[in-house]
Amino acid sequence: MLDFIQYQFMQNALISAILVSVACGLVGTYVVLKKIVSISGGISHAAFGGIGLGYFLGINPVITAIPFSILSAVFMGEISKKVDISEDTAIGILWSVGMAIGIIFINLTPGYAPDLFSYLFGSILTVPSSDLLIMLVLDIIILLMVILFRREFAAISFDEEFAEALGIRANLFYILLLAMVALSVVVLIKVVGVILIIALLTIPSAIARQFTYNLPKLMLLSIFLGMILTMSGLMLSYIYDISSGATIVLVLGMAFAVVSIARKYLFNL
Amino acid sequence: MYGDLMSSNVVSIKNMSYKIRDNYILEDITLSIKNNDFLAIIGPNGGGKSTLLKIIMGLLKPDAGSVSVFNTVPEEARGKIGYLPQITHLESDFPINVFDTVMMGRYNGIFKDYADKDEKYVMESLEAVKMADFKDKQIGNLSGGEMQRVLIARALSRRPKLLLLDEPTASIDPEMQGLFYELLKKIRKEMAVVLVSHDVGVVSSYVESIACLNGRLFSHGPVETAAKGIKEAYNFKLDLLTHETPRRILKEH
Repeated sequence: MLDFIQYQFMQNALISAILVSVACGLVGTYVVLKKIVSISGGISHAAFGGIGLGYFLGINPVITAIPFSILSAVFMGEISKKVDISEDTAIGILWSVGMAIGIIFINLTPGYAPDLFSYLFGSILTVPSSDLLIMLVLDIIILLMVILFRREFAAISFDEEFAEALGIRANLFYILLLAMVALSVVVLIKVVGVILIIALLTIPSAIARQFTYNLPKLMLLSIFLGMILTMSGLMLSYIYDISSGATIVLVLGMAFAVVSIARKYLFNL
Repeated sequence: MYGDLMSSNVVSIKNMSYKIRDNYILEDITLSIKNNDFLAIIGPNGGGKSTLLKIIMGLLKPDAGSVSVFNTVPEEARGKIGYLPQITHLESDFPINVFDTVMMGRYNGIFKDYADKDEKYVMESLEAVKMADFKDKQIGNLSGGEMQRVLIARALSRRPKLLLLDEPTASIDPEMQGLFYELLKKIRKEMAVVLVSHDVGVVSSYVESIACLNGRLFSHGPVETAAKGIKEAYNFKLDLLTHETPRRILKEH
């Protein structure tokens, strides 16, 4: 039954499911609490520009996606405040321009772009070991940022005005938070692809939130739920030979629906 | 430089103006707040009351004039200021309990962990607003009045020398209001208190001085004299404010 575990690709897939869940549980909790879901969607789509740049330069697209998505996060946090446009509008511009840049870069790259689809829709079964190392390093950076700046992130998510009155540079930490979203986007890119990333950044924390009112516990539960659900999706996609990214997202969506309905109608919570 | 003349002023604002694009929100404000003052800033909604508080904390920069707080620039003085923002700004479903909410008031800079002393101050502040029994409760389960008291405790936990309260009575239930002003009377021995309200009647019987603000400062001084400015600040719409339960603003002569 468990004989597939012996395959290298399956081991890598399971490790990436764990690494992905750590990023989602930590960053996704802030995404849900601070209500920055659409801006995170914008950053994840814009990251495709970085993927295109990687193809164009002939280096690993996951690496070029790091500076590209961080830059788009900083752009989101900074420019929309300086220039007189609403954040909503800035998201729309960033979202589409980022993807357009990626497409143009891929057009400019001679020859066929291999596994382009895996960056769009994800492919957890083809994550190479080198990418696992990048994901691990990014996870560690995210974890350190959460530990070091937990007070500031909590303060700006809870009550931004009071945070500023305390002397916290709310805008700076908001940009740091978006940069953390950018890093988690890079962790997730290979597994679910830019189009489906936002599901992993919201659903585990949205489910966990229904069970705890304690921030650290909420993060841990989100990580745990992320692992269980991503691995279930991975197994289903392997057994039925269907697209892994889409299967994982559907499993997450189903879990959210089941938990929410059960909570409301069965337990009356 | 100015010697004793300056040192007794907690806040001194001179000819200060603040505008958004070309509209003056505050115009030519001159105001000083002394140690142990108990000042109410009243005026209609949109009259710039909250903006004035934010300028005192250095969250907004004035376009003209000068603002000094504890004889320094507002940003430097934040450690001595306790602030109660309007309750509407808050995410009340945020996963945090009462104790940790008040602990946020003890924030002391990046990488600086909370100490035993901070916990002591938090509990003292919670006791002052009679919310110590609620310390482990989730803020989502509090009533509006309880939440307001927690946020006042959060402001007090900083051990401020100046307490700025933005519409503190907005969500406090009527029977709590008396208790709330008793609390203010007690704590004002240790600090200057400035509260902002659009409700003239509520504040007048408790505070010491009133400033009437509607873009410009219409009057500023002890309750009896300053109340004359209320009419000006409200463009003679005073009847609108008090028609429900007429309250006496001026003491009988």
